[in-house]
Amino acid sequence: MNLFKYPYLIQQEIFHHMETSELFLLSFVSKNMKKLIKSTQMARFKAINTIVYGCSTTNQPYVYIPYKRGNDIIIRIMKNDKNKNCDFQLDLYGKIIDFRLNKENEQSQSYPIALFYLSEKRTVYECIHNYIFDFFGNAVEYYWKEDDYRCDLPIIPKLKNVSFCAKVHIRGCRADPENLETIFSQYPVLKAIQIDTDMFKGTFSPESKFYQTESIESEQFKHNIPDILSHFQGRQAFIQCGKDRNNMLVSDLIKFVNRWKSGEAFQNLEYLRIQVALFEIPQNNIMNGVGAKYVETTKITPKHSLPRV
Amino acid sequence: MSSTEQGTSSAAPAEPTTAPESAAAPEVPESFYYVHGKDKVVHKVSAGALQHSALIHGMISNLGYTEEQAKANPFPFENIDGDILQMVVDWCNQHKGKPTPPEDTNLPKQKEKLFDLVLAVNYLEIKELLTYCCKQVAMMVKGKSPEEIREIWMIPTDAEDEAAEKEAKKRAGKEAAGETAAAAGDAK
Repeated sequence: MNLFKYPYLIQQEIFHHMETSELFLLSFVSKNMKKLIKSTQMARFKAINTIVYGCSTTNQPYVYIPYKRGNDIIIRIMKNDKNKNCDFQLDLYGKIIDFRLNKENEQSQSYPIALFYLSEKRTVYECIHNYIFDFFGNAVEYYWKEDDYRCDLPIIPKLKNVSFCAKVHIRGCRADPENLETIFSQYPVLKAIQIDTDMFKGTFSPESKFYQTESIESEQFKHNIPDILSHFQGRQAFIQCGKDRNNMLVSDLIKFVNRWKSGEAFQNLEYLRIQVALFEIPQNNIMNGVGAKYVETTKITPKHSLPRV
Repeated sequence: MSSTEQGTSSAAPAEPTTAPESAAAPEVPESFYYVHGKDKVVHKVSAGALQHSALIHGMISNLGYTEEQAKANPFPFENIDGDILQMVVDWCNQHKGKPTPPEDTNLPKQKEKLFDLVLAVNYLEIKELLTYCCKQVAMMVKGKSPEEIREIWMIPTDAEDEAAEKEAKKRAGKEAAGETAAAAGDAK
């Protein structure tokens, strides 16, 4: 049985019964196989919007395609465990990389694991990403998602066309914006950040890349909303905070909306949501302050929906 | 052609001795057609079973054979091995007039047989069986390493592909040179 001897339609039908992750593994078999998959699966690849490098604290990402039914893991990049032999080796862009196959049990999804020694971590990340980029193309959005960043500065490789998203939990001693400023300064503007902190000592500088993030989701008891409302340059902000001590939030909010409305600032902003806990918002003051017009409840107002970043 | 005839009467449903009460109209007798593969063994198959094959169904519709004409002119499929055609005929008989199930576990496990079956089914345009076969081919490499996949599907390595490409270029070059020389000879 030589797959290449089958007519094109049969090859397509066989691939139709394989998950994208299985086709990715299959592409390792030969250059011609990779070419064949790319040519037969154009429609499938066109439907892939996003590929995520999902990291937790270990900095050993699972690379997956997020689907509504679940994530399809195409590969994982991991530190090499010297006690285990690799299952196969591949020459990717001149670099020989060791691989293992994830075979936890019969039911579990099987995907390749690219192994690296610390000294060659960056090169392995780059080779794997270049391969993925070549396979799936540049129409896909690639995200590096730090899901559980707590204290240490993560080492994030600079990869072609990869946007960086972070979920940051800051507790106690490390609630220091300087730590984050150091990270932000090293990388391109973030695509999205979710920040969750109980104590946030100080503020970011107005020029901080934090404010340039496309989407900010912030959950803080002692908030820095006035800063966000002054300096944010992104597209979407979702803010959850506690009570403001001097009723500053109300005046900041009015000022913000008026600047936004007039086009004086926040020209990129598409969506803003602020939720305040344990604090009654004087709705009428804000409405009057921003010159809101009342719409009859019976009237259908026009709606404009935007996808969330 | 061999005079051997393999009837499929055992696979075909027995004709009812009495018509069901609800069926007022008299039952139309089932028509049969004949096919043979590379081994020339003729298989008698009902028109109902052959409906699975878009190719044969089209041929039947266009020819309008009588029973005698059909018997005298079996459809020849010289590109299909006898045992593979037998498998196809059996499958068509088993699934005659029935909705096809989501899975079919009775397909051959040996990869060479499955490979030939896929080609035959594709040629005969039996869509459902082709889907089952292709699914089975895909399942063969589930959880396998690239090297194992290469062995199962007989995929050449990059080095083998490159060597074959070089060889093909060389051959094409020689053929082109030969043609040029012949053309020059003709001109003289």
